[in-house]
Amino acid sequence: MSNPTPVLSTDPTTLAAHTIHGVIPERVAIPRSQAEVSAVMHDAAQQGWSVIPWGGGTQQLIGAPPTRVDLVVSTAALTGVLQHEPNDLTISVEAGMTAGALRAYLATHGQMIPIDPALPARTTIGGMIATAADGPRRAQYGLLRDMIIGIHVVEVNGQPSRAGGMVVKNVSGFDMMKLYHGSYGTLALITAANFKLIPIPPARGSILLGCATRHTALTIVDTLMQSQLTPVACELLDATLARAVGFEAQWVVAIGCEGPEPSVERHIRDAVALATTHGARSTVRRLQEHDALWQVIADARTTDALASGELLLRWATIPAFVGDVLARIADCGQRLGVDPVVHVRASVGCGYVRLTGLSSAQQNAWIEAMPEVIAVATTDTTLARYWHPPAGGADVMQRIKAEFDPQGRLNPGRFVV
Amino acid sequence: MHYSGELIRALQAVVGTRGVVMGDAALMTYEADGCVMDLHAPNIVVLPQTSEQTAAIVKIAHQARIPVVARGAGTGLSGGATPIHGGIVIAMTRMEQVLEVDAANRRVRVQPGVINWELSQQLAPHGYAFMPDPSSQKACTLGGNIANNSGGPHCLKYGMTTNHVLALRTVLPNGDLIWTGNGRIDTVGYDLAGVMTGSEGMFGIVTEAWVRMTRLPEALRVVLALFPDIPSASQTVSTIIARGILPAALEMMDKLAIKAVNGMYKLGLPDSAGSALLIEVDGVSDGLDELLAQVVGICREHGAIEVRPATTAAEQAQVWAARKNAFGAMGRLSPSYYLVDTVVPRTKLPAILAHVGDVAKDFSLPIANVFHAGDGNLHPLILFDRRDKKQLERALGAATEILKESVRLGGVVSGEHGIGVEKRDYMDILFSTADLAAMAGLRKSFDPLDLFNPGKVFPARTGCGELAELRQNAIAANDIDALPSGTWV
Repeated sequence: MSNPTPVLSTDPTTLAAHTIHGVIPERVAIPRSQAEVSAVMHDAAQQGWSVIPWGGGTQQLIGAPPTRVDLVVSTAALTGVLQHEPNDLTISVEAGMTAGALRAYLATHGQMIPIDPALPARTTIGGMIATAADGPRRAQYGLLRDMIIGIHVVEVNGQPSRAGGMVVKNVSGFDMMKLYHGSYGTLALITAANFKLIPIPPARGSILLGCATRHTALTIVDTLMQSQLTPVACELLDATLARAVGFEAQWVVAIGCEGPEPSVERHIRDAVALATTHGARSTVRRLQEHDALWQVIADARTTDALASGELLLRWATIPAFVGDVLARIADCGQRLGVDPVVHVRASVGCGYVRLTGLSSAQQNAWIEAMPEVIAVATTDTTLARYWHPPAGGADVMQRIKAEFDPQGRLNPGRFVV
Repeated sequence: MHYSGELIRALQAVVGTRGVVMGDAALMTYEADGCVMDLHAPNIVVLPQTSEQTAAIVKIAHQARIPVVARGAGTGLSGGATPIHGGIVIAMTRMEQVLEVDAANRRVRVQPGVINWELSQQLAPHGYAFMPDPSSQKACTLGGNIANNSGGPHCLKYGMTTNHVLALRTVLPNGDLIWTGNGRIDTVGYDLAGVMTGSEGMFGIVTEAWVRMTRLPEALRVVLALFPDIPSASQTVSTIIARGILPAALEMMDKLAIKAVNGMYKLGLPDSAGSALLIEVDGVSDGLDELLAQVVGICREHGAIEVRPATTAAEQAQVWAARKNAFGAMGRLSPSYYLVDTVVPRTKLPAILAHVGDVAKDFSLPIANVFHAGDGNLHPLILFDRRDKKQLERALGAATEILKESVRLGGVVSGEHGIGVEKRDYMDILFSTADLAAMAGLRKSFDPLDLFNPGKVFPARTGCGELAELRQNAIAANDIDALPSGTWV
């Protein structure tokens, strides 16, 4: 290489720390600025290296194993707040900042970005955007795609480009934020993003409703959603997760509320009444207990350090079909003799199922049995498929990929496109 | 240019003779939308009734390499529906069915010609609404809302159209008809519904959409606060937000706008008022009165001269009607107006409004302000007489000044009306060549032949095709200096 980049590392420990699906990368770059990212990407283009973007590394097991791991570009040194305007409720942060660090920073200003990823101490903003990560509070606040107002990327040849801005409402130009959100590092490397912020509401609390049957739990969710209550989260937990949150039941409906205190108290009161009506047990969690509860639920989807034979499936349907999907998961579990761990973002109609001790054939069978699966995480590198085909527009997606990465060097083989 | 008899017969075979509009007089209706600065008639207008017909029309156009412009109600304000290169206008107004109200899943499937207001009227008996509510909601269509990612007063709390679109059935520029998803937001692959929303008819033509319906709030409170001037009302907005209150809407009017609506809606607002702030809070009824009291307290803290709660539904409707029809009320003050749409960071509102006042003086034209204060989205209305060429020039000059100042203050050039043809030459004030080239690359992925709504969004000097080519060459040559990246954050 004629002009070696100072941030490039071939130190064995560093390389080993960035192992992907058992493959140790040839080299790792840890650029300290967007200019350095640009230089690294430019060099990679010159060398024809494949590039694997890396944030906190907690979601690298999602999708197919990359076909080539020439260079990992880590955002570990891009952790700063670029611009924060508290009174405008906007912030611009570098992609390598962790969700936990951002949460702590914003809390000092009484503000938040209400997305709750697994392992916030390690999960980065860039990684959350790239994987369209979700959290329980999407029930009320939506996904990061609904909060992102601007983005900075470095394109495949090292070219930096931007879209959006630092205002909360903007139709100046196409919505490139949505293009990069959920693109799994296949179109460009995200270096920073701008978000709109929400003031932390004055009060918060949650109610757990213990139900004997899935049917009762789903009826409670449906009644809640047809009401005029506005819970920020509404999750359905199976017996394993119920135990993890310290409330033994076959199924638990976990309802999170935020807002002015009278509003939170009203939600709690109505939810407790709902439990009584449906013969469910209930318990209320407040303050730190509330926070701890939701962190356990958020962490339930973790894809970090999966065991051999462990499979985490992210699935999505519509609320009315959740019962069908859960029945199919139960059947499949019985048929294959494994015990699935299930949690559902019930009011949204999506969720996760975790399975352990599966052979490759069993993992294939699960994925085939669930056309609702939208992401697969596993250490198995031999599966028949890691993605179901897109519902529509596969040709356009291929053209987008060819336009942004003509040589197919960004996260090659990883995604459906 | 006139199209061949063969082409016309092919179109008529798809939609019937009544679905094809020709003749200069009939085509005049389609030569502009609400932005009447640039006029251009289409060669032909086609009105499909189904997705399949729309796809067949596009296939014919694609084969003949004819530009296609989709059009809803034509209420757009940026020239998005103006066929500046002629060609075929596909008017979606005959596709106006609400196809499926799916209350269990809080979504509704609509055709693009459904009128925004009528959708919410249909959903109201179920206890739901489609939340984006542009001021033109009684006329504008869902298809237009999606193409422009429309906003409205309530997007402060509920988000823009993009936050309410779940899946789109779309005719692509080559005539392919696709669904972007199964009617839910989580999909496999790139977020096509996400990038198509707000793409101003340049990526595809929406023929059906799954959109969210939102449960109507249990209760709401509306209050109209009058202030002696703009800064005191702006400061009130900042304080409300800073205290952690997220109202459903925060709308402001200045003295001139108050004068216009006062006469028309008999609101009886005092002449001494320099600005009016309309505040709505909603949610469960518990705690809402306390919240309102807190908001009223903040208004008084910042020197409100009068705070009027609109307690009954009728009073609330009257206040809202005054706000939503404020643009129409300008007719009482001036024969025409130029409505500028721009956004600044919220805290820059007093600065930009002071600048707007200076611009009004410099260009000797009255400017009224009616705007979404909570979002920092302002809408200066430059009052002038279109028949006077000099006034028209001054109006355009005044708009340019306001847009440049918005960008200088950290804002952008459009908050909810879109770029279209009106703002395309402001795009390079805001974005670098590299930024625009990435957008051009995305556009090219959908429309390699530049057939759908050509000439929009990208600067006239450097169009979409040219930008996309520059970018591909830079990637091929691995040259990152070919495209200047600018310094904008």
